[in-house]
Amino acid sequence: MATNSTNFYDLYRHGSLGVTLTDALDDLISAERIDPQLAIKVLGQFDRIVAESLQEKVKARLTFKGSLDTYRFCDEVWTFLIKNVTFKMDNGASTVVADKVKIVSCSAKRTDEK
Amino acid sequence: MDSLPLPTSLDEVLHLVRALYAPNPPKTIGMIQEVLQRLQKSDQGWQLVQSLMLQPDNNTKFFAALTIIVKLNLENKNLSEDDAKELLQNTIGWTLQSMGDGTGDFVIKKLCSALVTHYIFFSDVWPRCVRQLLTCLDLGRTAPVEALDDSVETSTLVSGLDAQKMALAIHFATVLVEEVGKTEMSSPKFVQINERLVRNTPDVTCLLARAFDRITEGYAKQAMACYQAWILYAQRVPQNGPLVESLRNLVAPAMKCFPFDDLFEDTAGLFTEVLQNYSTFLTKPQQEAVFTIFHSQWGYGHYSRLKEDAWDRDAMLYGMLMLAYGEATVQDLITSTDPQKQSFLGYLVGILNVKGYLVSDDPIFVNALDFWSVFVETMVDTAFSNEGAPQPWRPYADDHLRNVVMHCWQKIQWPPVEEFAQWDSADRQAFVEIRKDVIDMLQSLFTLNGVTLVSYFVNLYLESLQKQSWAEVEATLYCLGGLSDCVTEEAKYDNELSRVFSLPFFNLVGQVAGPIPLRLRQTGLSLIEKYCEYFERHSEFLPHSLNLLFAAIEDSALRAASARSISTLCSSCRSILTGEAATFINHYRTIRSGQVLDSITEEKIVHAIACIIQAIQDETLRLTMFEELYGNMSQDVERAAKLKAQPDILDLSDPNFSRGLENWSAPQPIPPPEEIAKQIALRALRCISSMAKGMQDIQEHVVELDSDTAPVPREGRLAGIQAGIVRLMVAARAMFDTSGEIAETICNIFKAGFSETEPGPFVFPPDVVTDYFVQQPVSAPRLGTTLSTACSFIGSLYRGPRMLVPSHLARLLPWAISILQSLPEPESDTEITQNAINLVEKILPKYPSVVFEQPSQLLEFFFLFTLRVLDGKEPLPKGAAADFWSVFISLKLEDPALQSRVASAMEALGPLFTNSLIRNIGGNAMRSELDKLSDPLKKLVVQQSRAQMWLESALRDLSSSHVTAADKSVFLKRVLGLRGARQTNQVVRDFWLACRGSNFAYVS
Repeated sequence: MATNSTNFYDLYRHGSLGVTLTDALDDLISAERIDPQLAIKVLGQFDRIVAESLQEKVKARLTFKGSLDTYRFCDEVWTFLIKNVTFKMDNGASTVVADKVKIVSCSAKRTDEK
Repeated sequence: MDSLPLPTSLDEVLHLVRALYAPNPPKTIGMIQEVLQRLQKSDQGWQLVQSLMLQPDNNTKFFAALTIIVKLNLENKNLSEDDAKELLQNTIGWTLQSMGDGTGDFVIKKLCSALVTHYIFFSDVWPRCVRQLLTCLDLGRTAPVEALDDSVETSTLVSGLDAQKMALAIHFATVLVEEVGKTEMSSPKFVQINERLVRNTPDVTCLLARAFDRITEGYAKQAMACYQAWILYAQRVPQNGPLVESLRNLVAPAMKCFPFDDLFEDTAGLFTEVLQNYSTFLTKPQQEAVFTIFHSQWGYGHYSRLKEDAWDRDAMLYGMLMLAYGEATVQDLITSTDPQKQSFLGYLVGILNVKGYLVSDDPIFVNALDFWSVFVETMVDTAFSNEGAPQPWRPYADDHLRNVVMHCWQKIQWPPVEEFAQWDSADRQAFVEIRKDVIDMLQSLFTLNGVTLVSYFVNLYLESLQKQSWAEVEATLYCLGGLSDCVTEEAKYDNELSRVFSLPFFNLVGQVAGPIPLRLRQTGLSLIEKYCEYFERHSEFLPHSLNLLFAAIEDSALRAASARSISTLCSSCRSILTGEAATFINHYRTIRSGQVLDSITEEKIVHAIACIIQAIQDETLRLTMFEELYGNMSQDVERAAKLKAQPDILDLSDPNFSRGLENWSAPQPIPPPEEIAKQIALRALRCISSMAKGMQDIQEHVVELDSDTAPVPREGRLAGIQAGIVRLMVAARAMFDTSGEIAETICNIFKAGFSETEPGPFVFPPDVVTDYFVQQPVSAPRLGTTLSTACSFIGSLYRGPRMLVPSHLARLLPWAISILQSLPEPESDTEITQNAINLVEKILPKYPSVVFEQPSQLLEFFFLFTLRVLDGKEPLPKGAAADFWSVFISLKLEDPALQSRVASAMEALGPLFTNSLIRNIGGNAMRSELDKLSDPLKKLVVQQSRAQMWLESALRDLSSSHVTAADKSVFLKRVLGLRGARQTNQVVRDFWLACRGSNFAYVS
């Protein structure tokens, strides 16, 4: 039922795409080509599109194995700290290893939607 | 575009409005639109509305209604309360009049939108807007807002409205909640309007209750949409208790719409959405009421139709409703032993088994699978959170899951080739994705059933094999492959797997001719790769497997899967396979000479053989095998050199030459011999790069940091091999000196040796590597990559004996800076700039003496260069420059002479750097660069005693119209007060924002 962009998390704004988009919006505001209200709307759309695309369009998968070091569930956010992780890609490409991985996961439905 | 003059008479306006909606060239319409918009915004706009609403034609009235909306949006602040009331009276009046005089529906709807816009700006004028509109509709005329009272019940009011008035009121209530719902509820600006809207809920529920009560009057469909819009709104309202309570009263009336054919879609859509996204909206008794539908005769009829034809729209929607109900109550369904609930779960299992193939015939399978995945995951939670407690529900649940697995296994079987060929690409892709979704579900189920599940598929495999039912065999092997990540090395799993990996399996997958479908062979080969750990424990099956895989390389359809499996198996089982190295090299030679392998397959095979060679304990044998394999590539490079020198020797019927045609396809013209030569050399180098990766040691060894010698031989056979490889790379680089790919591949070959601690063919002596780097001229291609590789090399030097390091750094440093000197501008090649700065930054903290021993001219250039980069716009070089300054500022050296040089450099450059930093923080930097730029600021404050003075001066020089001297002073105080603490980043962010102005505060 999430039709309004305010119903989506803004956590992807901190990823490379979101940060770069914000820089681009700053540039457009500096050049007086858009106003901040439009920038807010664009970021709202970004939140929605990223969430929807990750849910519907992304088909790539991977599996990973590792030792679960710490986990917690606070304010509807799960956090997992995993050590010695091996990622195995879906397409049979070579594996990727990492000493430590932190996974932060939020419910697909926000608390106010439940 | 020329603009038209403003019209001077009503006739002219009418003419323009009619022309706007008449077929006209876009340019004409654009000009008309522009002049009409100017008119709308002018002082005559309101008068225009009055005049246009008196006109008979629909388009003119529509334009008038549009003008109301435009004026309200632009000039609402200019209207007094009395103006707003008058406008409201007029708009309601025009709406009522339009209903009675045959005006088009689209005009009436636009007038409704105008009323909603009015409410958004003047909700205080008519807080109970729905009641106000209903009263006017009942009276058939406008009524003053002051006259509104509760003397008549809303239900009485709506009972007197005819179908047209009901439809209008419902439309208004829908647009109202949708538009108000778009406002930010938590914003102070919109809090009141949302509160007032909620006060309209009892009137809306009366209206909708009447609509659901008179289903045959034709507006129930609209009422369903309105109800859905209000529920959606209610979900977002904080403290929505009374609102939700009020709306819940409509659940039972809305459910009565299910049996009506023309309302079923909307009703099922509404309840499905509520169950999926807002299941708490329904009370327990209301959920039970929905549940009774599934056991009614009517419900069973829909279910039966779904089982026969999942494309039947209503049946499909019914199935979705069942699944939504199942998901909303999954916990209850799992733990219940109630026969009705069990029977319902049986129905949900049945949805996995509707008639026809996946996707093309059966679009609902994927939704059903989603439900069962949720069921399994919830069951895992339930089973393990109550471990030890009696679980009477478990046998029932297990029984359903057995059927789920069986249906999924049946559904993911590949259709006959001729059937599959008829599907479009989207359906084929979806089929493949669903197979993966099934595996996800099976992996979750493995947590519950473990070896039982593996055993189930092994038995299924044996039965299918017996029946020679190839689609079943394939699906079984696919499912077993999917469980490979879950299966552990315990004997119970190996026992099961040994029932699969036996002679019949290898015969089956190895059959080149015969009835075995290609897909089955692909799945079988992939299964070998997935269970490579099993083969490590059961080496008796390895020869079978690898012979099979090498044989499959010859089949172009199986090539990719087999090469991957060979690579994985040889890497995992390298120590078992050392005796096979010579055989595999021969296999490789045979394949290579017999046909043209694609480069990716070839690289995987070469990697696989190199892994085995690496594991050979006897050094003489290891190097012999290495030379055997490497000889193929060195011959290729020699052949490429010869071809380049003598183009007439090109013979494309010879596989050794046709290797260079991989990127070519008819009808393109055959590339010139020089290009073919380059491709041959490039392929050879890529294979050498794969060899280098395969030769990497998988064990860790102790490194003696205090040793004064490198662990590399200077003479002997290994040294000879290394010299040969380096000669080959240098020759290839010189022969094709403009090829970026060759330059990059050579870097990859070097990199593979950097992580090694034991001698090996690719663990080159450091001076050889340094020689290669410093010989790269400024004109070399991919110089950025080469510099980045040099950074990795420096990292590897640090892991080795210390004595050797400075001499190499002393050669690399001037080389890197000289490349920067050759750049016309710091930003003309960002990769070079970034990596060269990184290289100096990597050296500075560990070997500062190497840096400060460089000629002062060179150093001065470099420091000033980094300042220019800091003042630039490119984020990556700027980040590198910020990192460099962070390191430089915090340098603390034991050698007093060196420390004095650093101090005098800082003395001279500190103010310049601080100015640059403050210019960035004062608004020049991108928002994303602020964290990076905060680092040197923190270091400056902590490490440099003159930081305050420099910062004061830099802030004084900072010109910004948004911050005052006091703001700058506060910023400085806060930064100094934090003494380099993490909160400095936020202070920097706040100051940047203050310098940029409030326009940039749109994001937190």
